[in-house]
Amino acid sequence: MIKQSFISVLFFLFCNIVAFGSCLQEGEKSFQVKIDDSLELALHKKTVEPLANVEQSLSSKKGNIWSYWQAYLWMCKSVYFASEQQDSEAKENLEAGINLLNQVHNKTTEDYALLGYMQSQYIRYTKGMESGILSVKSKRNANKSVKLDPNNIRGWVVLGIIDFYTPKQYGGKEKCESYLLKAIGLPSQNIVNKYRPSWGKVEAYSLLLAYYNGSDQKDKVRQYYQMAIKEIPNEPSLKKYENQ
Amino acid sequence: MLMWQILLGISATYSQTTITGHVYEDKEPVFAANVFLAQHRCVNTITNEDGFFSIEVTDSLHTDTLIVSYLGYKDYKIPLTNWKEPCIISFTLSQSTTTLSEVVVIADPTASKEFAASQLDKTAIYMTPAAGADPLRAVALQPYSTSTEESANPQLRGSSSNYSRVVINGVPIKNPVRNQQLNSIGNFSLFSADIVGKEFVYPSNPPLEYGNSIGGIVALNTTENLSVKHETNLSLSLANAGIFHATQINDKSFIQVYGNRQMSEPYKWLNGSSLNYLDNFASTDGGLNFRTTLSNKSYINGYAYVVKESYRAECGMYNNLGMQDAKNLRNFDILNYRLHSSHGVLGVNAAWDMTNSNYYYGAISDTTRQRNVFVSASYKHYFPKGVTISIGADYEHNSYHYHGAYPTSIYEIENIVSAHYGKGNIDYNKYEAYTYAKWLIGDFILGASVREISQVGAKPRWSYQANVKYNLSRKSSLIASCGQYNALSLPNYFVRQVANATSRQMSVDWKSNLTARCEVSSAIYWKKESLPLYLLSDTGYQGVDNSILGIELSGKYTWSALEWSVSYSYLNARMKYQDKTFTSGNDFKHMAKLMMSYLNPKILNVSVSCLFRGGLPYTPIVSSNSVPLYANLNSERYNNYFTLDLSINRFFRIGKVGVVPFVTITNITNHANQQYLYYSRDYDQQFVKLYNKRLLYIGCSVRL
Repeated sequence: MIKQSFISVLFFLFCNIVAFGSCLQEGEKSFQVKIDDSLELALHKKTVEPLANVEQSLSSKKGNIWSYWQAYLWMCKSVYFASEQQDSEAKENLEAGINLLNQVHNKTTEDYALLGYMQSQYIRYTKGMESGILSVKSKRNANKSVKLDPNNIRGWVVLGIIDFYTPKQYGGKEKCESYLLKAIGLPSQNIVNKYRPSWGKVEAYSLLLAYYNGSDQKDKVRQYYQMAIKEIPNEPSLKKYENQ
Repeated sequence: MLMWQILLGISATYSQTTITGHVYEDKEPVFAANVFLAQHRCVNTITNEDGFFSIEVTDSLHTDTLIVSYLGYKDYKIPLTNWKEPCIISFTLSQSTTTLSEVVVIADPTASKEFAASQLDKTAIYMTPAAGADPLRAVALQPYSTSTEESANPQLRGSSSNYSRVVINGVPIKNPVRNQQLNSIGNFSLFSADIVGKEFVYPSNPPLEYGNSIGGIVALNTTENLSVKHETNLSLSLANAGIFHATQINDKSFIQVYGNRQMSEPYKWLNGSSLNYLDNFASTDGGLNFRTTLSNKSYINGYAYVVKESYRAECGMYNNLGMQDAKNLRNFDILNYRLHSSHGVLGVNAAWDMTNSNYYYGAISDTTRQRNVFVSASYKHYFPKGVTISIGADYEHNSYHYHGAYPTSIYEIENIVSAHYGKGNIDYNKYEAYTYAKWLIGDFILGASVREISQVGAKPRWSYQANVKYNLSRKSSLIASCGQYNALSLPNYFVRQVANATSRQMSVDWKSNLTARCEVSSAIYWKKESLPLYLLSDTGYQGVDNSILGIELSGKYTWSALEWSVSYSYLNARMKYQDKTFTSGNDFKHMAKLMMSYLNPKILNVSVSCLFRGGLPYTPIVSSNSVPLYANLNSERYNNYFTLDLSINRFFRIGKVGVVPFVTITNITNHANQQYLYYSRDYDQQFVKLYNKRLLYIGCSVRL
């Protein structure tokens, strides 16, 4: 479960880098793309420096929106350190991001979605009862996200991810299909904004196809693959479903 | 508490309009807020780190709604109007932890606001200390105000206050000031600035959409939304104790309630020598304003007000000096309904107004009952290519009943023995209908309107007007207007009947923002008024023709916390009576106003205002032989009027409570400004009644 969660995180971060174009304002790079590009470069060059440079530019900025991106950046750094088998640094960065989001007053739907997501990733660094508690917290935050804005794709994606990776004996894999179907029906952004997050579409399709593939529903794999490539053509993580 | 200020600057470029603005949260700029059109989301932008945004909107999209969206707060919607002037809009967005339900801000359906000489909002009224937080007194400080009375009753561009009209949410309110007694003392209006959202002033050629008015229109709109969820203000001063409370009941409704108790004793104690003519005054009033959004396209607003007042003071009239004793009970209730569609706005208004008054002076012992019912409906439609057409109709029923004892002759006011009993009823119904059209063509705005006034048994009368506004540049504009207007004079003690009044007017107004800190304006206007006046006769009113020519020049300069404004008005008013021409009673010739404000909440808010005007003409009594003999009409003048006033206040925060103590000193130099003459019993001696000498007024308001 932990490994699959980690892989899904890596996937969605890679995928967002490629699939973000539709959300960009013409001729301008969104902040998410900036961070995702930095993660891609960091993984490619095997150095955290590109992410550290972005973090440097964030250090002087104040406001909730910049807290969000700081937390998101820490999650990306966690992914980088995890890929380098540096679990201690990976855990530290996730923890910093979670603490930062917890301190935000007047959390928005995006804050709750990201917090729920980061908490679900942090579960792999916990054991026993602590894992259970964190699982409940992450799900509660994801629920808050969709309650605040039922049209926020990221809230539904996080719910889908949590349910997908929760073992069946703990009640998992029951609702992920409906959550992810809901997610793919929503836009990445209700209104274009280069300072707002836009992740979610790729990982919703990736997980949904993985779910159908895992439960041997080939027809649905083909059906949703066709839908996915219309929305996000040339998405690498979906290529493996091309010949299903 | 969250308060957003969105500064909108609108400039027109051929068929497109650039809307720019700033979005604030409290005083902090909001970054990355979404700004877009509801029906055309591809037209969108976001605010930068200064909270600034700029969005291009083609004229064909002017019926759309601008939405400002920031995560964590309710979306704010602003229907785009045809505004071509910069305006400031304050928004309040309340956080919801459950749903992001929408609160719709619906603009006033009046189509003609582009032709207003000025627009004030609650902030502007409060930021003018000399206005005393009174929406009508704030008008008196503007260059187009030619007020010659120390009254809140608007006198605009030379016309009498009897013919100016105050309109609230589209409903005309007669006698809009307190203590509207025989000599119209009316120092303050009936309205609280706390419930005012916007104020438009049309000093000449007022829009026929509001009704017929030959003396200009002040249009007040009650607030469309609350800046905070709950607000309670207490005020205590020498003459007033008051409370104001506003609360957001739910996402769709809010209510504002206020009450005041006025008394004269402490005020008189501190200003004894200046108020030696005053015996006492007292009033108790209360108001309630509520708004509820029925859907995202419609709302209902209700405003109710009641006041009970009394006033007792020495007054001289002709050859009598005695105590006038006035009591008044007033109530008016206004109900408004607005329904917006994608291309138009429907408005329905209903109002009830009642007054019971008693007046005692000399041989006069008068009881008057007035009742008024007003109903109106209007519809404004936005057509393509920048065309707007509105139509409307209203019905008004007025009832005026009086009875009492009255002197046989106006020159024998003191003679109670010879007083006779009189009574009368005046009931009339009035129907009016209008149509108004406006066309935006590039930098021009053209407007035209026709209105008919009908009464049973009388020939219908027509009013018409035409306006042209030209945006010379992004910073300056020119408005030319002309028209013919009809009105009905209200019954009063001297003229106990409803009579016709007409006016022909022409005006040209120019305004320019020379720099971001400097604004200048000028105007030239001409009016010809045919009015019923009580004029030196026992036999009733006479018709007179007033011809008014006026010029206004004004400038305003703002630098940091300092603001200067200066204005000069020239007025030449001539009156034609019985084929002879005389100087009019309001012919003051020259009027100059100067105001300097230093507004720094951390240190002090100080405002100094100064007004000078030429003395008004009057007709002296030269001798008497049982009946006074007059010299030529308006052949003498009172002395020049001058007053220098000072207002100081300071904001303190004590815990969560805001405290604002204030001091106001009027007529600092103690200038003896002549108000009117009265005479000894046999008219041998002449006495002068002065306006108030130096007055000190102190108080404190507390925001909980």
